[in-house]
Amino acid sequence: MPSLSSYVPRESLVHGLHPVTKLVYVACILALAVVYSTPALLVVLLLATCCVLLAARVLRPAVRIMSRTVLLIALFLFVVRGLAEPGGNVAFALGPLAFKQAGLDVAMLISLRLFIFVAAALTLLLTTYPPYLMAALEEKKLSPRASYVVLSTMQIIPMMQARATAILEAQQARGLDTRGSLLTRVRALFALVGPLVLGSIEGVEARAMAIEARAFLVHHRRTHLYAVATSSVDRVLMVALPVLTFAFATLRFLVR
Amino acid sequence: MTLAIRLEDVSFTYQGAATPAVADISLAIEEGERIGIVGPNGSGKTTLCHLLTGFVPHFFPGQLRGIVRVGDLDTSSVGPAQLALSVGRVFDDPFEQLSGVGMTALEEVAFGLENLALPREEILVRSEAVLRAVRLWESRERSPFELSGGQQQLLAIASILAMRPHILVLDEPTSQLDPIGTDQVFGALHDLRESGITIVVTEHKIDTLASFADRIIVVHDGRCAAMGPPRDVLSSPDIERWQIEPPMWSRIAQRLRSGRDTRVCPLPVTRGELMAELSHAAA
Repeated sequence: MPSLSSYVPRESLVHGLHPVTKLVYVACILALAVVYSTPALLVVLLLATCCVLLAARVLRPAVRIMSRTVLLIALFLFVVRGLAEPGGNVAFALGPLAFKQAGLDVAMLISLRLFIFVAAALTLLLTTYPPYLMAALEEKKLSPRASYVVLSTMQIIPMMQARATAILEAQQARGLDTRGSLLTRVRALFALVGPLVLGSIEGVEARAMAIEARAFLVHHRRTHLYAVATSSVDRVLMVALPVLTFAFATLRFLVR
Repeated sequence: MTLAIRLEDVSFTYQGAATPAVADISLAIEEGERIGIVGPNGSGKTTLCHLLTGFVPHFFPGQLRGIVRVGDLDTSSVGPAQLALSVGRVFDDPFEQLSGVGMTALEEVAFGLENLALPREEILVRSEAVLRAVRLWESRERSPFELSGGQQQLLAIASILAMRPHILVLDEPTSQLDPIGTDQVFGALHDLRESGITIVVTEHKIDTLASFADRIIVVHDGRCAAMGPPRDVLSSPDIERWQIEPPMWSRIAQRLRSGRDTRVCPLPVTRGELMAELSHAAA
């Protein structure tokens, strides 16, 4: 059974930061990714986020996750945008398929932004122990309901993986073949998706009952098993990151 | 004795259902009693648990008649979260009743205590006490999802007990467990005898329930068909009509008695009662 969290425990400066500092970092990166509109600047931003992942010693798991998700979406984008662009120069052709330069440019921008978004989000997810995030958010006056939603959303993928594994094992025990040709695997996928989706919907109701039974939201405030400290580095970063973001964004508009 | 639970002529029909899930149920449960509820699937056992913990009518809407009082609270006016302060609920599926935010067994137990806004020191003291009580203290740093089914159910019980409810309602807590897991769960419930907590448990494993409960309630077609000490209820000639399998010890005794009238002397329903009968016969 997989762990319930994407968190990767490591000794690093990024791991030690207050979760809200990391949230501010993610917001700043997202803002810059939206403001920057040239591939060169976006590549620089992507490299910067990768440097932060490297400093946090989670670059490898982050690349693994991105290669399974964002890379596939990016490839899909290049194909669709490249072929669907109505006019303009043809960048290259594969037999009867003509890929347009304008479509590829748009796909490049969207893909780079997507990589940046995910890399920044993974910096938070892979380096933050989830209960610390919940405690930190509620410490900053976020409602327990909202912080529960944030935290449980962070667990969706690992929990779905756990549920999918259980369903697959049950289906295999009843003779479902999940290996072999593409057609066989697609058939196995259909056998998985139905129970997974229905089970997840049922699971939401069961979880709602489970947390009600644990007196969730009976008081307006919750206490926490963990106390999350705000260091002087956090205080500096919480001010410096938005200021720098604003400066870089302004510079971008000035140097048009 | 003070009453822990009182139901007066309670009927409940789920929204959209044609017939009531439970009908005309009246019962009184004293503080510290251990009540076993039995009945076939669909007889209304889970609805009864929902009534005691406020999920009916607050979570599952429908038409409720009669009065359900738990301690001093009328469950029709108090929601499940508020009732959870005095009534603990353990569900049948160990996986689904985890909070989803506890990364370790310790954090899972702490979740309910955090909701009660207890100080951190108190959270730690209570969590350690209940995890030791259910013999999970050594596993406190393990993910709840890495525990066995029996251990997950023990963790669920510990998570509820940490909140120190006066009443514990367990709905088929061993339905997904093997015999070892079942023994672990009922072992933990036996250990609660001294605490004076009132326990209501629905269960299909009649042998286990017969040796655990002070009283058995039979629910059949949504109605209370019988109520009394296990030996009186489970040796009743009506047991097959209620679609309940007699305890193994009763079946053995039935064979040994070979046709003696069970109405004169009720059949034993626990191992201890059977052994006593055999000793008496041998003497």
